[in-house]
Amino acid sequence: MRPIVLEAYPITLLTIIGTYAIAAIGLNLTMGSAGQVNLGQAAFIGIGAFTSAILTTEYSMPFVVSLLVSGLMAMIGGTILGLISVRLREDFLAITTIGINFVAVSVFQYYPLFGGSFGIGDIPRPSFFGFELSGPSYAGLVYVVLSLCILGALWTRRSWLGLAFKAIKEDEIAALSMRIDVRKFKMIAFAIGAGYGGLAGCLLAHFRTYIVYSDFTFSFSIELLTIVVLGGLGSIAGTTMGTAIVVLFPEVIRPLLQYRLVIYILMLIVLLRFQPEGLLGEKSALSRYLHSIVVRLYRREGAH
Amino acid sequence: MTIGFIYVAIAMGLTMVYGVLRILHIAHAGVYALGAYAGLTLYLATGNILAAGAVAIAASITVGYLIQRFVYAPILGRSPLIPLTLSVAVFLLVSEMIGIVWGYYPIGFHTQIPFTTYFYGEISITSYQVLVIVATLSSVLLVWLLVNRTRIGLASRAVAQDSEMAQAIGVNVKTVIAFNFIVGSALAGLGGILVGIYYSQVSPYMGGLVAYKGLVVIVLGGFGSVAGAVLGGLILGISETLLVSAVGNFLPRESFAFLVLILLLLFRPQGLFGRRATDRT
Repeated sequence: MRPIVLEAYPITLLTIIGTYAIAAIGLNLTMGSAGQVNLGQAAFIGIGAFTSAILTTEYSMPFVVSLLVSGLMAMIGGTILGLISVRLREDFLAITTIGINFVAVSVFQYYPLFGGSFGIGDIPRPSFFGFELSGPSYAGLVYVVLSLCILGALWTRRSWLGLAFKAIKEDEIAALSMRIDVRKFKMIAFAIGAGYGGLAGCLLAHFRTYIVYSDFTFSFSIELLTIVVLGGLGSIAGTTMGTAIVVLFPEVIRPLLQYRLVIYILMLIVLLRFQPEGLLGEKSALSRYLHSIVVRLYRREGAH
Repeated sequence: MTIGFIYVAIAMGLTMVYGVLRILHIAHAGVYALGAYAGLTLYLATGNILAAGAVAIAASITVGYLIQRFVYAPILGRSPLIPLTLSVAVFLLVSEMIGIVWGYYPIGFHTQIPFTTYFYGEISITSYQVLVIVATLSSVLLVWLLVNRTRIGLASRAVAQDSEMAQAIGVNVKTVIAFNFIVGSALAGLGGILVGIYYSQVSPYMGGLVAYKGLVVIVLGGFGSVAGAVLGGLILGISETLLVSAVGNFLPRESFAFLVLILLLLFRPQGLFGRRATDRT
Protein backbone atom coordinates (compact mmCIF):
# COMPACT_ATOMS: atom_id res chain seq x y z
CA MET A 1 0.00 0.00 0.00
CA ARG A 2 2.59 2.50 1.17
CA PRO A 3 4.48 3.27 -2.07
CA ILE A 4 1.20 3.85 -3.90
CA VAL A 5 0.11 6.37 -1.29
CA LEU A 6 3.43 8.19 -1.46
CA GLU A 7 3.18 8.39 -5.20
CA ALA A 8 -0.44 9.40 -5.34
CA TYR A 9 -0.26 12.03 -2.63
CA PRO A 10 1.64 14.78 -4.50
CA ILE A 11 -0.53 14.17 -7.56
CA THR A 12 -3.64 14.57 -5.41
CA LEU A 13 -2.33 17.85 -4.01
CA LEU A 14 -1.44 19.07 -7.49
CA THR A 15 -4.93 18.25 -8.76
CA ILE A 16 -6.52 20.05 -5.83
CA ILE A 17 -4.33 23.10 -6.39
CA GLY A 18 -5.35 23.12 -10.06
CA THR A 19 -9.09 22.99 -9.39
CA TYR A 20 -8.97 25.53 -6.57
CA ALA A 21 -6.90 27.84 -8.75
CA ILE A 22 -9.58 27.80 -11.47
CA ALA A 23 -12.28 28.79 -8.97
CA ALA A 24 -10.03 31.40 -7.34
CA ILE A 25 -9.09 32.98 -10.67
CA GLY A 26 -12.77 33.28 -11.48
CA LEU A 27 -13.37 34.88 -8.11
CA ASN A 28 -10.48 37.24 -8.70
CA LEU A 29 -12.04 38.37 -11.99
CA THR A 30 -15.24 39.25 -10.15
CA MET A 31 -13.60 40.81 -7.11
CA GLY A 32 -10.17 41.97 -8.21
CA SER A 33 -10.91 43.14 -11.73
CA ALA A 34 -14.50 44.34 -11.45
CA GLY A 35 -14.45 45.11 -7.72
CA GLN A 36 -17.65 43.17 -6.97
CA VAL A 37 -17.69 41.25 -3.71
CA ASN A 38 -18.65 37.60 -3.93
CA LEU A 39 -18.48 35.64 -0.69
CA GLY A 40 -20.44 32.72 -2.10
CA GLN A 41 -18.16 31.29 -4.75
CA ALA A 42 -18.50 27.82 -3.18
CA ALA A 43 -22.19 27.87 -4.11
CA PHE A 44 -21.28 28.10 -7.80
CA ILE A 45 -18.64 25.40 -7.43
CA GLY A 46 -21.41 23.33 -5.90
CA ILE A 47 -23.77 24.08 -8.79
CA GLY A 48 -21.11 22.94 -11.25
CA ALA A 49 -20.21 19.84 -9.25
CA PHE A 50 -23.79 18.67 -8.78
CA THR A 51 -24.77 19.46 -12.37
CA SER A 52 -21.97 17.34 -13.71
CA ALA A 53 -22.52 14.60 -11.13
CA ILE A 54 -26.21 14.31 -12.03
CA LEU A 55 -25.62 14.48 -15.78
CA THR A 56 -22.95 11.79 -15.77
CA THR A 57 -24.51 9.38 -13.26
CA GLU A 58 -28.20 9.70 -14.16
CA TYR A 59 -28.03 10.49 -17.86
CA SER A 60 -24.55 9.11 -18.63
CA MET A 61 -23.52 12.18 -20.58
CA PRO A 62 -19.97 12.37 -21.87
CA PHE A 63 -17.57 14.33 -19.66
CA VAL A 64 -16.85 17.15 -22.11
CA VAL A 65 -20.56 17.93 -22.48
CA SER A 66 -21.15 17.87 -18.73
CA LEU A 67 -18.09 20.07 -18.15
CA LEU A 68 -19.49 22.70 -20.47
CA VAL A 69 -23.02 22.39 -19.13
CA SER A 70 -21.86 22.72 -15.52
CA GLY A 71 -19.89 25.85 -16.39
CA LEU A 72 -22.99 27.18 -18.12
CA MET A 73 -25.30 26.39 -15.20
CA ALA A 74 -22.99 28.16 -12.79
CA MET A 75 -22.89 31.12 -15.19
CA ILE A 76 -26.67 31.27 -15.13
CA GLY A 77 -26.54 31.24 -11.33
CA GLY A 78 -23.93 33.99 -11.44
CA THR A 79 -26.11 36.07 -13.74
CA ILE A 80 -28.97 35.82 -11.27
CA LEU A 81 -26.64 36.96 -8.49
CA GLY A 82 -25.53 39.75 -10.81
CA LEU A 83 -29.16 40.78 -11.29
CA ILE A 84 -29.51 41.11 -7.53
CA SER A 85 -26.15 42.80 -7.16
CA VAL A 86 -26.89 45.76 -9.40
CA ARG A 87 -29.43 46.89 -6.84
CA LEU A 88 -27.21 46.62 -3.79
CA ARG A 89 -24.49 48.59 -2.07
CA GLU A 90 -21.17 46.96 -1.25
CA ASP A 91 -21.81 45.60 2.25
CA PHE A 92 -25.36 44.52 1.49
CA LEU A 93 -23.98 42.65 -1.48
CA ALA A 94 -21.36 40.92 0.68
CA ILE A 95 -24.02 39.67 3.08
CA THR A 96 -26.33 38.64 0.25
CA THR A 97 -23.61 36.52 -1.29
CA ILE A 98 -23.04 34.85 2.09
CA GLY A 99 -26.77 34.20 2.15
CA ILE A 100 -26.74 32.67 -1.32
CA ASN A 101 -24.06 30.27 -0.16
CA PHE A 102 -26.13 29.17 2.84
CA VAL A 103 -29.29 28.80 0.78
CA ALA A 104 -27.50 26.80 -1.93
CA VAL A 105 -26.01 24.44 0.66
CA SER A 106 -29.40 23.81 2.26
CA VAL A 107 -30.95 23.16 -1.14
CA PHE A 108 -28.21 20.60 -1.87
CA GLN A 109 -28.82 19.06 1.53
CA TYR A 110 -32.58 18.99 1.44
CA TYR A 111 -33.58 17.85 -2.02
CA PRO A 112 -33.14 14.21 -3.02
CA LEU A 113 -32.12 15.27 -6.54
CA PHE A 114 -28.74 16.24 -5.05
CA GLY A 115 -28.49 13.08 -2.98
CA GLY A 116 -29.62 14.82 0.21
CA SER A 117 -27.36 14.27 3.21
CA PHE A 118 -25.66 11.31 1.53
CA GLY A 119 -24.48 13.20 -1.53
CA ILE A 120 -23.81 11.63 -4.90
CA GLY A 121 -21.29 8.84 -5.27
CA ASP A 122 -19.86 6.74 -8.10
CA ILE A 123 -19.21 9.74 -10.30
CA PRO A 124 -17.31 8.29 -13.27
CA ARG A 125 -13.79 9.38 -14.13
CA PRO A 126 -13.75 10.98 -17.57
CA SER A 127 -12.48 8.80 -20.40
CA PHE A 128 -11.31 9.77 -23.84
CA PHE A 129 -11.27 7.15 -26.63
CA GLY A 130 -11.61 4.36 -24.10
CA PHE A 131 -8.74 5.60 -21.94
CA GLU A 132 -9.88 6.45 -18.43
CA LEU A 133 -8.17 9.45 -16.88
CA SER A 134 -7.01 9.07 -13.28
CA GLY A 135 -4.04 10.09 -11.18
CA PRO A 136 -1.42 11.91 -13.27
CA SER A 137 -3.50 11.99 -16.45
CA TYR A 138 -6.42 13.56 -14.57
CA ALA A 139 -4.07 16.14 -13.10
CA GLY A 140 -2.97 16.79 -16.68
CA LEU A 141 -6.57 17.42 -17.71
CA VAL A 142 -7.06 19.80 -14.78
CA TYR A 143 -3.98 21.78 -15.77
CA VAL A 144 -5.09 21.96 -19.41
CA VAL A 145 -8.38 23.49 -18.25
CA LEU A 146 -6.50 25.74 -15.82
CA SER A 147 -4.22 27.00 -18.60
CA LEU A 148 -7.22 27.76 -20.80
CA CYS A 149 -8.83 29.57 -17.88
CA ILE A 150 -5.69 31.63 -17.23
CA LEU A 151 -5.50 32.53 -20.92
CA GLY A 152 -9.17 33.49 -20.81
CA ALA A 153 -8.61 35.63 -17.73
CA LEU A 154 -5.58 37.35 -19.27
CA TRP A 155 -7.54 38.02 -22.45
CA THR A 156 -10.48 39.36 -20.43
CA ARG A 157 -8.24 41.75 -18.57
CA ARG A 158 -6.66 43.14 -21.73
CA SER A 159 -9.88 43.38 -23.72
CA TRP A 160 -12.50 46.13 -23.69
CA LEU A 161 -14.31 43.95 -21.14
CA GLY A 162 -11.40 44.29 -18.72
CA LEU A 163 -11.27 48.04 -19.28
CA ALA A 164 -14.98 48.33 -18.54
CA PHE A 165 -14.50 46.24 -15.36
CA LYS A 166 -11.68 48.47 -14.27
CA ALA A 167 -13.76 51.58 -14.87
CA ILE A 168 -16.59 50.17 -12.75
CA LYS A 169 -14.18 49.18 -10.00
CA GLU A 170 -12.56 52.60 -9.81
CA ASP A 171 -15.68 54.75 -9.97
CA GLU A 172 -19.15 53.62 -10.96
CA ILE A 173 -20.55 57.07 -11.53
CA ALA A 174 -17.63 58.09 -13.71
CA ALA A 175 -18.02 54.84 -15.66
CA LEU A 176 -21.70 55.55 -16.12
CA SER A 177 -20.93 59.01 -17.41
CA MET A 178 -18.64 57.43 -20.03
CA ARG A 179 -21.70 55.51 -21.24
CA ILE A 180 -20.46 52.22 -19.85
CA ASP A 181 -23.47 50.06 -19.09
CA VAL A 182 -22.56 49.38 -15.45
CA ARG A 183 -25.43 46.94 -14.84
CA LYS A 184 -24.58 44.81 -17.84
CA PHE A 185 -20.88 44.59 -17.02
CA LYS A 186 -21.52 43.81 -13.37
CA MET A 187 -23.67 40.90 -14.47
CA ILE A 188 -21.01 39.75 -16.89
CA ALA A 189 -18.40 39.94 -14.12
CA PHE A 190 -20.48 37.73 -11.86
CA ALA A 191 -21.34 35.35 -14.69
CA ILE A 192 -17.71 34.80 -15.70
CA GLY A 193 -16.54 34.38 -12.12
CA ALA A 194 -19.31 31.89 -11.39
CA GLY A 195 -18.67 30.06 -14.65
CA TYR A 196 -15.04 29.47 -13.61
CA GLY A 197 -16.40 28.19 -10.32
CA GLY A 198 -18.69 25.79 -12.18
CA LEU A 199 -15.81 24.38 -14.22
CA ALA A 200 -13.78 23.91 -11.04
CA GLY A 201 -16.76 22.19 -9.40
CA CYS A 202 -17.13 19.76 -12.28
CA LEU A 203 -13.42 18.90 -12.18
CA LEU A 204 -13.58 18.47 -8.41
CA ALA A 205 -16.62 16.16 -8.62
CA HIS A 206 -14.97 13.85 -11.17
CA PHE A 207 -11.74 13.88 -9.20
CA ARG A 208 -13.28 12.93 -5.86
CA THR A 209 -15.97 10.72 -7.49
CA TYR A 210 -18.10 11.49 -4.43
CA ILE A 211 -19.62 14.83 -3.47
CA VAL A 212 -21.91 15.91 -0.67
CA TYR A 213 -23.53 19.22 0.26
CA SER A 214 -21.03 19.90 3.05
CA ASP A 215 -18.20 20.18 0.49
CA PHE A 216 -19.54 23.56 -0.62
CA THR A 217 -20.15 25.46 2.61
CA PHE A 218 -19.33 29.06 3.39
CA SER A 219 -15.93 28.08 4.80
CA PHE A 220 -14.88 26.92 1.31
CA SER A 221 -15.87 30.35 -0.02
CA ILE A 222 -13.75 31.90 2.70
CA GLU A 223 -10.80 29.71 1.74
CA LEU A 224 -11.09 31.00 -1.83
CA LEU A 225 -11.43 34.57 -0.59
CA THR A 226 -8.27 34.05 1.44
CA ILE A 227 -6.46 32.78 -1.65
CA VAL A 228 -7.48 35.81 -3.67
CA VAL A 229 -6.66 38.36 -0.97
CA LEU A 230 -3.40 36.62 -0.06
CA GLY A 231 -2.27 36.43 -3.66
CA GLY A 232 -3.26 40.01 -4.31
CA LEU A 233 -6.52 41.37 -5.69
CA GLY A 234 -6.43 41.54 -9.46
CA SER A 235 -3.25 39.51 -9.90
CA ILE A 236 -3.69 36.22 -11.75
CA ALA A 237 -0.16 35.04 -11.00
CA GLY A 238 -0.70 35.99 -7.36
CA THR A 239 -3.91 33.97 -7.20
CA THR A 240 -2.18 30.88 -8.57
CA MET A 241 0.64 31.31 -6.08
CA GLY A 242 -1.87 31.98 -3.28
CA THR A 243 -3.66 28.72 -4.10
CA ALA A 244 -0.45 26.75 -3.87
CA ILE A 245 0.37 28.36 -0.50
CA VAL A 246 -3.09 27.89 0.98
CA VAL A 247 -3.24 24.23 -0.08
CA LEU A 248 0.37 23.28 0.65
CA PHE A 249 1.21 25.22 3.80
CA PRO A 250 -1.07 23.21 6.11
CA GLU A 251 0.56 20.06 4.68
CA VAL A 252 4.07 21.40 5.32
CA ILE A 253 3.36 22.17 8.96
CA ARG A 254 1.48 18.92 9.54
CA PRO A 255 3.95 17.81 12.30
CA LEU A 256 2.63 20.60 14.50
CA LEU A 257 -0.56 18.56 14.89
CA GLN A 258 -3.27 20.44 16.72
CA TYR A 259 -1.42 23.75 16.64
CA ARG A 260 -1.22 23.64 12.88
CA LEU A 261 -4.41 25.57 12.17
CA VAL A 262 -3.54 28.22 14.75
CA ILE A 263 -0.06 28.72 13.29
CA TYR A 264 -1.51 28.82 9.80
CA ILE A 265 -4.12 31.44 10.67
CA LEU A 266 -1.59 33.47 12.64
CA MET A 267 0.71 33.51 9.63
CA LEU A 268 -2.16 34.66 7.48
CA ILE A 269 -3.12 37.43 9.88
CA VAL A 270 0.44 38.69 10.20
CA LEU A 271 0.90 38.60 6.43
CA LEU A 272 -2.28 40.53 5.72
CA ARG A 273 -1.66 42.90 8.59
CA PHE A 274 1.71 43.98 7.25
CA GLN A 275 1.14 43.34 3.56
CA PRO A 276 -2.53 44.15 2.95
CA GLU A 277 -2.02 44.30 -0.82
CA GLY A 278 -1.35 40.57 -0.85
CA LEU A 279 1.78 38.91 -2.16
CA LEU A 280 1.59 39.98 -5.79
CA GLY A 281 -1.03 42.71 -5.67
CA GLU A 282 -0.44 46.17 -7.06
CA LYS A 283 2.09 48.08 -4.94
CA SER A 284 2.95 45.05 -2.76
CA ALA A 285 6.57 44.69 -1.64
CA LEU A 286 7.24 41.55 -3.70
CA SER A 287 5.73 42.89 -6.91
CA ARG A 288 7.61 46.19 -6.52
CA TYR A 289 10.82 44.20 -6.05
CA LEU A 290 10.15 42.10 -9.16
CA HIS A 291 9.23 45.24 -11.05
CA SER A 292 12.48 46.93 -10.07
CA ILE A 293 14.46 43.91 -11.31
CA VAL A 294 12.68 44.07 -14.66
CA VAL A 295 13.29 47.81 -14.90
CA ARG A 296 17.00 47.35 -14.12
CA LEU A 297 17.31 44.66 -16.77
CA TYR A 298 15.65 46.96 -19.31
CA ARG A 299 18.03 49.81 -18.45
CA ARG A 300 21.04 47.56 -18.91
CA GLU A 301 19.69 46.48 -22.28
CA GLY A 302 19.18 50.12 -23.21
CA ALA A 303 22.72 51.11 -22.22
CA HIS A 304 24.30 48.80 -24.75
CA MET B 1 -38.96 33.89 20.16
CA THR B 2 -36.45 33.96 22.99
CA ILE B 3 -33.67 33.42 20.48
CA GLY B 4 -34.82 36.67 18.87
CA PHE B 5 -33.70 38.54 21.98
CA ILE B 6 -30.28 36.94 21.76
CA TYR B 7 -30.06 37.97 18.09
CA VAL B 8 -30.81 41.48 19.29
CA ALA B 9 -27.84 41.49 21.67
CA ILE B 10 -25.45 40.12 19.04
CA ALA B 11 -26.73 42.37 16.27
CA MET B 12 -26.51 45.47 18.41
CA GLY B 13 -22.87 44.74 19.07
CA LEU B 14 -22.25 44.22 15.36
CA THR B 15 -24.11 47.42 14.53
CA MET B 16 -22.02 49.48 16.93
CA VAL B 17 -18.83 48.20 15.35
CA TYR B 18 -20.15 48.61 11.83
CA GLY B 19 -21.38 52.10 12.57
CA VAL B 20 -17.93 53.52 13.28
CA LEU B 21 -15.61 51.29 11.26
CA ARG B 22 -17.73 50.05 8.34
CA ILE B 23 -16.29 46.59 8.86
CA LEU B 24 -18.37 43.41 8.70
CA HIS B 25 -17.09 42.19 12.04
CA ILE B 26 -17.27 38.40 11.73
CA ALA B 27 -14.74 38.01 14.54
CA HIS B 28 -17.62 39.12 16.74
CA ALA B 29 -18.58 35.44 16.72
CA GLY B 30 -15.23 34.57 18.27
CA VAL B 31 -15.66 37.21 20.94
CA TYR B 32 -19.07 35.77 21.67
CA ALA B 33 -17.84 32.19 21.98
CA LEU B 34 -14.93 33.28 24.16
CA GLY B 35 -17.34 35.12 26.45
CA ALA B 36 -19.39 31.98 26.85
CA TYR B 37 -16.32 29.86 27.66
CA ALA B 38 -14.89 32.36 30.11
CA GLY B 39 -18.23 32.55 31.87
CA LEU B 40 -18.54 28.77 31.96
CA THR B 41 -15.06 28.34 33.43
CA LEU B 42 -15.74 30.77 36.24
CA TYR B 43 -19.16 29.27 36.86
CA LEU B 44 -17.66 25.79 37.20
CA ALA B 45 -15.03 27.18 39.59
CA THR B 46 -17.23 29.33 41.80
CA GLY B 47 -20.80 28.40 41.06
CA ASN B 48 -21.80 32.03 41.03
CA ILE B 49 -23.72 32.86 37.87
CA LEU B 50 -23.52 36.64 38.28
CA ALA B 51 -19.74 36.54 38.66
CA ALA B 52 -19.63 34.27 35.61
CA GLY B 53 -21.61 36.82 33.62
CA ALA B 54 -19.27 39.61 34.72
CA VAL B 55 -16.19 37.60 33.74
CA ALA B 56 -17.76 36.67 30.40
CA ILE B 57 -18.31 40.32 29.63
CA ALA B 58 -14.87 41.35 30.88
CA ALA B 59 -13.16 38.69 28.74
CA SER B 60 -15.15 39.70 25.67
CA ILE B 61 -14.27 43.34 26.16
CA THR B 62 -10.58 42.53 26.43
CA VAL B 63 -10.52 40.41 23.29
CA GLY B 64 -12.72 42.81 21.37
CA TYR B 65 -10.46 45.71 22.26
CA LEU B 66 -7.32 43.78 21.32
CA ILE B 67 -8.83 42.88 17.94
CA GLN B 68 -9.66 46.50 17.29
CA ARG B 69 -6.29 47.81 18.44
CA PHE B 70 -3.99 45.32 16.75
CA VAL B 71 -5.92 44.00 13.77
CA TYR B 72 -8.36 46.58 12.50
CA ALA B 73 -6.74 49.87 13.44
CA PRO B 74 -3.63 49.46 11.25
CA ILE B 75 -5.52 48.57 8.08
CA LEU B 76 -8.29 51.13 8.08
CA GLY B 77 -9.00 52.77 4.76
CA ARG B 78 -8.05 49.68 2.75
CA SER B 79 -10.37 47.90 0.37
CA PRO B 80 -13.15 46.49 2.60
CA LEU B 81 -12.27 42.95 1.54
CA ILE B 82 -9.05 42.97 3.55
CA PRO B 83 -10.57 43.75 6.96
CA LEU B 84 -13.28 41.21 6.12
CA THR B 85 -10.76 38.46 5.40
CA LEU B 86 -8.82 39.35 8.53
CA SER B 87 -12.01 39.33 10.53
CA VAL B 88 -12.84 35.80 9.43
CA ALA B 89 -9.27 34.75 10.14
CA VAL B 90 -9.46 36.19 13.66
CA PHE B 91 -12.74 34.37 14.24
CA LEU B 92 -11.14 31.07 13.20
CA LEU B 93 -8.08 31.82 15.34
CA VAL B 94 -10.13 32.50 18.46
CA SER B 95 -12.25 29.39 17.86
CA GLU B 96 -9.16 27.22 17.35
CA MET B 97 -7.55 28.57 20.53
CA ILE B 98 -10.73 27.79 22.42
CA GLY B 99 -10.58 24.31 20.93
CA ILE B 100 -7.00 23.82 22.13
CA VAL B 101 -7.64 25.17 25.62
CA TRP B 102 -11.07 23.73 26.35
CA GLY B 103 -11.32 20.90 23.80
CA TYR B 104 -13.10 20.74 20.47
CA TYR B 105 -16.25 19.03 21.70
CA PRO B 106 -19.27 20.80 23.12
CA ILE B 107 -19.13 21.20 26.90
CA GLY B 108 -22.24 21.02 29.05
CA PHE B 109 -23.24 24.21 30.81
CA HIS B 110 -25.68 23.14 33.48
CA THR B 111 -26.78 25.96 35.70
CA GLN B 112 -28.63 25.55 38.96
CA ILE B 113 -31.32 28.06 38.06
CA PRO B 114 -34.61 26.59 39.25
CA PHE B 115 -36.45 25.50 36.15
CA THR B 116 -40.00 26.69 36.58
CA THR B 117 -42.70 27.44 34.08
CA TYR B 118 -45.04 30.34 34.65
CA PHE B 119 -48.48 30.39 33.08
CA TYR B 120 -50.44 33.45 32.12
CA GLY B 121 -53.60 32.11 30.60
CA GLU B 122 -52.53 30.59 27.28
CA ILE B 123 -48.96 31.79 27.45
CA SER B 124 -46.30 29.78 29.22
CA ILE B 125 -42.82 31.04 29.87
CA THR B 126 -39.85 29.32 31.50
CA SER B 127 -37.44 30.88 33.94
CA TYR B 128 -34.66 30.59 31.33
CA GLN B 129 -36.70 32.64 28.93
CA VAL B 130 -37.35 35.24 31.61
CA LEU B 131 -33.61 35.42 32.30
CA VAL B 132 -32.77 35.91 28.62
CA ILE B 133 -35.45 38.52 28.06
CA VAL B 134 -34.69 40.51 31.20
CA ALA B 135 -30.94 40.46 30.62
CA THR B 136 -31.25 41.49 26.98
CA LEU B 137 -33.85 44.16 27.53
CA SER B 138 -31.90 45.78 30.35
CA SER B 139 -28.67 45.76 28.35
CA VAL B 140 -30.44 47.16 25.28
CA LEU B 141 -31.84 49.92 27.44
CA LEU B 142 -28.42 50.59 28.91
CA VAL B 143 -26.82 50.81 25.48
CA TRP B 144 -29.61 53.04 24.25
CA LEU B 145 -28.97 55.39 27.17
CA LEU B 146 -25.23 55.28 26.53
CA VAL B 147 -25.67 56.16 22.87
CA ASN B 148 -28.37 58.77 23.26
CA ARG B 149 -27.78 60.38 26.62
CA THR B 150 -24.03 60.62 27.10
CA ARG B 151 -21.31 62.74 25.55
CA ILE B 152 -19.40 59.80 24.16
CA GLY B 153 -22.62 58.41 22.73
CA LEU B 154 -23.18 61.66 20.90
CA ALA B 155 -19.59 61.56 19.66
CA SER B 156 -20.05 57.99 18.48
CA ARG B 157 -23.14 58.93 16.51
CA ALA B 158 -21.19 61.77 14.95
CA VAL B 159 -18.38 59.39 13.92
CA ALA B 160 -20.90 56.94 12.50
CA GLN B 161 -22.32 59.69 10.30
CA ASP B 162 -19.09 61.20 9.07
CA SER B 163 -15.88 60.31 10.82
CA GLU B 164 -13.74 62.94 9.09
CA MET B 165 -16.16 65.71 9.95
CA ALA B 166 -16.36 64.47 13.54
CA GLN B 167 -12.58 64.58 13.76
CA ALA B 168 -12.59 68.08 12.36
CA ILE B 169 -14.86 69.37 15.11
CA GLY B 170 -12.65 67.87 17.78
CA VAL B 171 -14.04 64.41 18.44
CA ASN B 172 -11.37 61.91 19.43
CA VAL B 173 -12.25 59.29 16.82
CA LYS B 174 -9.87 56.68 18.24
CA THR B 175 -11.49 56.83 21.67
CA VAL B 176 -14.92 56.61 20.11
CA ILE B 177 -13.97 53.54 18.07
CA ALA B 178 -12.54 51.88 21.18
CA PHE B 179 -15.70 52.77 23.09
CA ASN B 180 -17.92 51.22 20.46
CA PHE B 181 -15.81 48.09 20.38
CA ILE B 182 -15.97 47.78 24.16
CA VAL B 183 -19.73 48.16 24.29
CA GLY B 184 -20.24 45.91 21.26
CA SER B 185 -17.98 43.20 22.66
CA ALA B 186 -19.68 43.38 26.04
CA LEU B 187 -22.96 42.67 24.27
CA ALA B 188 -21.35 39.74 22.47
CA GLY B 189 -20.10 38.30 25.76
CA LEU B 190 -23.53 38.69 27.30
CA GLY B 191 -25.13 36.99 24.29
CA GLY B 192 -22.57 34.20 24.51
CA ILE B 193 -23.20 33.34 28.12
CA LEU B 194 -26.98 33.62 27.68
CA VAL B 195 -26.91 31.20 24.77
CA GLY B 196 -24.64 28.90 26.76
CA ILE B 197 -27.15 28.86 29.62
CA TYR B 198 -30.13 28.61 27.29
CA TYR B 199 -28.89 25.59 25.36
CA SER B 200 -26.89 24.30 28.37
CA GLN B 201 -23.80 23.78 26.25
CA VAL B 202 -20.98 25.65 24.54
CA SER B 203 -18.74 24.67 21.61
CA PRO B 204 -15.74 26.38 19.94
CA TYR B 205 -17.54 27.27 16.71
CA MET B 206 -20.87 28.15 18.35
CA GLY B 207 -20.58 31.73 17.12
CA GLY B 208 -20.45 31.07 13.38
CA LEU B 209 -24.07 30.83 12.41
CA VAL B 210 -25.13 33.42 14.96
CA ALA B 211 -22.68 35.94 13.55
CA TYR B 212 -23.95 35.49 10.00
CA LYS B 213 -27.49 35.79 11.23
CA GLY B 214 -26.44 38.88 13.16
CA LEU B 215 -25.35 40.34 9.82
CA VAL B 216 -28.77 39.50 8.40
CA VAL B 217 -30.34 41.30 11.34
CA ILE B 218 -28.38 44.47 10.79
CA VAL B 219 -29.36 44.40 7.12
CA LEU B 220 -33.01 43.94 8.06
CA GLY B 221 -32.70 46.88 10.42
CA GLY B 222 -30.73 49.03 8.00
CA PHE B 223 -27.03 49.34 8.72
CA GLY B 224 -25.83 51.22 11.74
CA SER B 225 -29.14 51.91 13.42
CA VAL B 226 -29.50 50.62 16.97
CA ALA B 227 -33.31 50.68 16.96
CA GLY B 228 -33.28 48.88 13.62
CA ALA B 229 -31.07 46.16 15.07
CA VAL B 230 -33.50 45.60 17.91
CA LEU B 231 -36.51 45.36 15.59
CA GLY B 232 -34.61 43.30 13.04
CA GLY B 233 -33.52 40.77 15.67
CA LEU B 234 -37.04 40.32 16.98
CA ILE B 235 -38.50 40.08 13.48
CA LEU B 236 -35.97 37.44 12.48
CA GLY B 237 -36.53 35.41 15.66
CA ILE B 238 -40.31 35.51 15.28
CA SER B 239 -40.45 34.99 11.52
CA GLU B 240 -38.13 31.97 11.71
CA THR B 241 -40.46 30.31 14.17
CA LEU B 242 -43.65 31.34 12.41
CA LEU B 243 -42.43 30.50 8.90
CA VAL B 244 -41.51 26.99 9.94
CA SER B 245 -44.98 26.39 11.35
CA ALA B 246 -46.71 28.15 8.43
CA VAL B 247 -45.02 26.75 5.31
CA GLY B 248 -43.47 23.67 6.83
CA ASN B 249 -39.92 22.48 6.39
CA PHE B 250 -39.16 22.99 2.74
CA LEU B 251 -35.66 24.06 3.71
CA PRO B 252 -33.60 23.62 6.88
CA ARG B 253 -34.26 26.32 9.42
CA GLU B 254 -30.75 27.75 9.15
CA SER B 255 -31.27 29.06 5.64
CA PHE B 256 -34.63 30.73 6.24
CA ALA B 257 -32.99 33.88 7.50
CA PHE B 258 -30.95 34.21 4.34
CA LEU B 259 -33.83 33.41 2.01
CA VAL B 260 -35.93 36.08 3.71
CA LEU B 261 -32.99 38.46 3.42
CA ILE B 262 -32.45 37.89 -0.30
CA LEU B 263 -36.13 38.30 -1.10
CA LEU B 264 -36.32 41.42 1.03
CA LEU B 265 -33.30 43.01 -0.59
CA LEU B 266 -34.79 42.42 -4.03
CA PHE B 267 -37.65 44.73 -3.14
CA ARG B 268 -36.06 47.03 -0.59
CA PRO B 269 -32.33 47.26 -1.34
CA GLN B 270 -31.80 49.67 1.55
CA GLY B 271 -33.04 47.23 4.22
CA LEU B 272 -36.28 47.25 6.10
CA PHE B 273 -35.73 50.41 8.11
CA GLY B 274 -32.71 51.91 6.41
CA ARG B 275 -32.96 55.21 4.65
CA ARG B 276 -32.09 55.31 0.99
CA ALA B 277 -28.34 55.57 0.73
CA THR B 278 -27.40 58.99 -0.49
CA ASP B 279 -23.69 58.96 0.25
CA ARG B 280 -22.82 56.51 -2.53
CA THR B 281 -24.40 56.02 -5.96
